[in-house]
Amino acid sequence: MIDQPVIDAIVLTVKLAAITSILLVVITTPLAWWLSRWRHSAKPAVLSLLSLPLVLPPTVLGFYLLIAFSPQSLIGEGYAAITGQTLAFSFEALIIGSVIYSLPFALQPLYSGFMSFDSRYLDVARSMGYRRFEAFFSVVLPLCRSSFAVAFGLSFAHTIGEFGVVLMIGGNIPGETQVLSIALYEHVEALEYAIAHKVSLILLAFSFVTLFGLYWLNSKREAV
Amino acid sequence: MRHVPAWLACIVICLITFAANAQPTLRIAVAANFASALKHIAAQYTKDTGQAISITVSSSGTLYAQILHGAGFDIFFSADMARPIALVEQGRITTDDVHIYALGKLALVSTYPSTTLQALNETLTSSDKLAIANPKLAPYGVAAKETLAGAKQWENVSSRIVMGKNVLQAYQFFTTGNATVAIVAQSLLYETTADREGMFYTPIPEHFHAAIKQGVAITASDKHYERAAHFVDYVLSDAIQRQLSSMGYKPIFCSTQCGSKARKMSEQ
Repeated sequence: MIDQPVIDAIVLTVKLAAITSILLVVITTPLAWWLSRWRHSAKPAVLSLLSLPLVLPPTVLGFYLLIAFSPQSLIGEGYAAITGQTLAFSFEALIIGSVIYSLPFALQPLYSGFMSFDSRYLDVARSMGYRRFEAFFSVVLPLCRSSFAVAFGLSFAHTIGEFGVVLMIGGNIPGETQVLSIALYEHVEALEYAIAHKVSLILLAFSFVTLFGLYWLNSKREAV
Repeated sequence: MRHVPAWLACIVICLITFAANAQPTLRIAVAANFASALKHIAAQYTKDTGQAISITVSSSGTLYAQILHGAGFDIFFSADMARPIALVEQGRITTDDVHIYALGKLALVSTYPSTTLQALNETLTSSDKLAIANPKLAPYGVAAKETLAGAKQWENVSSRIVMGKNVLQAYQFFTTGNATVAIVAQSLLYETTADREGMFYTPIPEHFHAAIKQGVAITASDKHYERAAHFVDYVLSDAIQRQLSSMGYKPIFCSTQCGSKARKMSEQ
């Protein structure tokens, strides 16, 4: 019913989305916290900078990543020196691309969550002898858990649907960089509409379940 | 609504009349590899005949799907014969509307001097990438794969192959420095300065692969058919075909047979 290449593409896509969203939550948590507590005239500029991936067309972003990944550039050269491989056309390249591309989707929910977080909870925890990190993990984390769920879920869903960036830096290698959206594009372009419909359906069903889980969790939290 | 001013109605009527009288723009859809050559040809044509032309560049597969679902292009320059023939099979046009307008030629580009097809495996290091167009999507990809297979290299290099969605993207992988070797269309190289630093170019003999036949389909409605056919005839004319040979294509000199239907229509 479902062919092996499609299964490979699904596995690769889920792997990419999972790694990207975990990395993003780890990266954006301290960033969003710092931004939510930071008071400076340069803040709007920093926030704008971090939201830019929303604006730049994915293929354009992908093109600049392609230039950055080339062995003639610092990033590409450094990677080649360490691993002996070229960075472009690798799974690692897709992760870097996805993290940049989906960054605003993880940052925004966390930032809003932290902004509305009442600092007095933290003051109380500190007065009770909690250390900084302890207080963060035992007070902020549980109280902002819905923001974390949204940040994770949105980055996950956004990476599943990612196409332009992967198209530019992936090189369409099955099992390495051929994610579901690329496989779908290939079927459509090759006029294999029957398989394309099937892959689309899988992509839609999967994304719906992800988003549904997200909203369902959120509504349950609100009800409590 | 009852009180539409007379002057407004007058302007609207004038505009409609004007639009109806002005010669409509010829809308052409073109596959990426032929886009720059076509823009050049279209500019000459507009200069000679006054016919305005708008050009839409995309991949053959996308354009095929758009035309099949009602996109109003008058002419479709595909990268292959498969898509124009598929339009015939779908009943959108007839075989008389399809012509071969050029044959594609391949070249091997490399960052290593004196790279040859036969010694590709010895030249490439394990981290080097070889870029080709996706054989599933692009005729230049099919030809590149046939070439590598013919040179007994396909098995050796397949782990190092990266595929672009079309031949332009394969070339982009090379020009951005991410692939050290690429098999691309010669038509892409005539534009970029041939003496690009550190780029070595070898034409691939045509016997290495089946002919890359690029087909054009006249998809215009009856009303615009004659003007569309006239342009296709122009592209198939000996003068333009001679120009194509300097743009990295192999010309089609068969203007007496190839464009017969198109010619008949335009003579009416």
